[in-house]
Amino acid sequence: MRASIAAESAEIPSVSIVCDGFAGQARATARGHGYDGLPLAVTVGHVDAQATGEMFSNFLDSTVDRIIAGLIDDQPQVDADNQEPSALDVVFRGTIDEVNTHFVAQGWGDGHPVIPPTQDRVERLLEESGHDPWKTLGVAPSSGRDLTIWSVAVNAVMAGCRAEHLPILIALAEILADPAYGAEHSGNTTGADALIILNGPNARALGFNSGPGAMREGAHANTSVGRWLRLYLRNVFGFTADEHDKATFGNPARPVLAEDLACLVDIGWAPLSNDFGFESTDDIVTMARMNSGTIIGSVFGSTPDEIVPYLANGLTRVTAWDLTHVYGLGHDQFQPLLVLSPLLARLFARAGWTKSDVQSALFELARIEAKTFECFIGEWSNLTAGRRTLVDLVAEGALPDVYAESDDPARLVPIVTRPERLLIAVAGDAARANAYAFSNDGPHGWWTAKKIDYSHSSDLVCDVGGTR
Amino acid sequence: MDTTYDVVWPQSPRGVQQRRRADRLDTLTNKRVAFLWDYLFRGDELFPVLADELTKRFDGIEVVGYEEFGNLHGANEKELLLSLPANLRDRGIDAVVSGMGC
Repeated sequence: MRASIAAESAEIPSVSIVCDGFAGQARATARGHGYDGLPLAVTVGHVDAQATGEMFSNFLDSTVDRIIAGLIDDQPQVDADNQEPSALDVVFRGTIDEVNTHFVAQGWGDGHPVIPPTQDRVERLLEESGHDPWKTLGVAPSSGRDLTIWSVAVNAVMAGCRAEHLPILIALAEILADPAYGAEHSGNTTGADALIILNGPNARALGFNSGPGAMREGAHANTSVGRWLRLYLRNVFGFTADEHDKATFGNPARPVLAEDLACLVDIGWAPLSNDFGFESTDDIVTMARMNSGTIIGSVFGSTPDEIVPYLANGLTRVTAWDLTHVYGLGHDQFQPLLVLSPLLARLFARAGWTKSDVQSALFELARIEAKTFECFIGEWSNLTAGRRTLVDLVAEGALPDVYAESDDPARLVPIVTRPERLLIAVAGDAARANAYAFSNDGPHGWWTAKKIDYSHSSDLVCDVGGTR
Repeated sequence: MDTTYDVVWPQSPRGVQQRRRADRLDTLTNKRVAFLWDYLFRGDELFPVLADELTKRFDGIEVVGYEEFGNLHGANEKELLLSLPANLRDRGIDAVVSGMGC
């Protein structure tokens, strides 16, 4: 759809071929770019599930006519919805039960009860921060809506966030506004959801849990900030099932993962934020969308050499079609995350291993057969066009030589292009020998980190309730 | 009696202004039509069929294949989309067929 929008911006008529399950998202994407009502040529069913003859027959019988009609039939222009409320309009009045019923009906809720976002409550959340509520952090690339501080705060109230969380939420909104993150892909059909990782000296003081149950609901800070992201993606980015969210399954909103800074300092390892160019003393929030996760349970052994094979095996088990982000949908953008419990991190550190040593060891062992790699990105998923072998891709310069050390289909090849592509974080119960492996969704929610500014904002103090 | 709440809108205004789409063509006869592909969902099978069908139906139509424009949903998506309007104009493209959204 974005290609058609680019053509229309050059005053060249376009038509987009879409499967019927994608039509709603296509229309919403066009609307978000100011091109409401761009022509679609909707196919019969989903092409991937059709035999070749059936697909060609459907295409010739109906889709081709729709393609031609989209280019030569001059349908009237569609006017966008311009009857929307203003930011300070009261959109509903009622009891807490009535407010929640109304918000669910409007698609503004996540299924859990929300705190009613009254103007007074939103203003109280903002008043200590000094932020200009009407400052815009960017535009949602999916919906075209402004990312205002006010909208951040309204959804923060709904999620139950506290005023002291606002700087983290603003940094998260900045990540969503960053083109490198690719927030517009947050509704893709495979249904990845974001993982927020928090680093820095202020995390503990704000009540973030990095210990037992580090990724489970319960700790207010971790849970409410994770919930805010889900609400913000729904309400401002438009990721609802009737618009931009085409997740086949999806996941619940993930609580924030706060790294165990005390453990990291103790063992002399740098936090995850260092991998993105920040200092250990910086307050940083990092985010990426994760496809799959698996627990590497009950890691047995007392030396690095004993435990690395199992950890590497966990990384390979969580890796499959996502390899198209090594080459295909992404390019060198498969960057999975291994979360080690403090006990496991200390085991490595006691043996003198740095994080870099762990990455190098994992890189050597987290490997799969070349034939399986090629099936994941080609024959089984059709996600990387052309059915080229890894040897072909190395010959083209698209992959490093490690993928073509021989042409034996049974040879082992790494799941990432180099050791640094295996990220490591430390969190969880300090007394348990478990780990968690996540696979990321490449450029569709790419690893992006922002500094959190906890200082009082010097933005112009605005008269909330004035002109908007 | 339960407390009542006056609640504000959790969405946000659209910063993007509504734009006018391009005028449609009178015919595809003697026109240059570009195919744009995201390298997904069997476009490599369907676009050749479409090219044949359009050529049968419209005299003098010229199809510019998706290979000329690269993978518009791959790692270079942002750069390619940014340069696409100028690229299409430079090639004298009259109309675009884009796929596959599934």
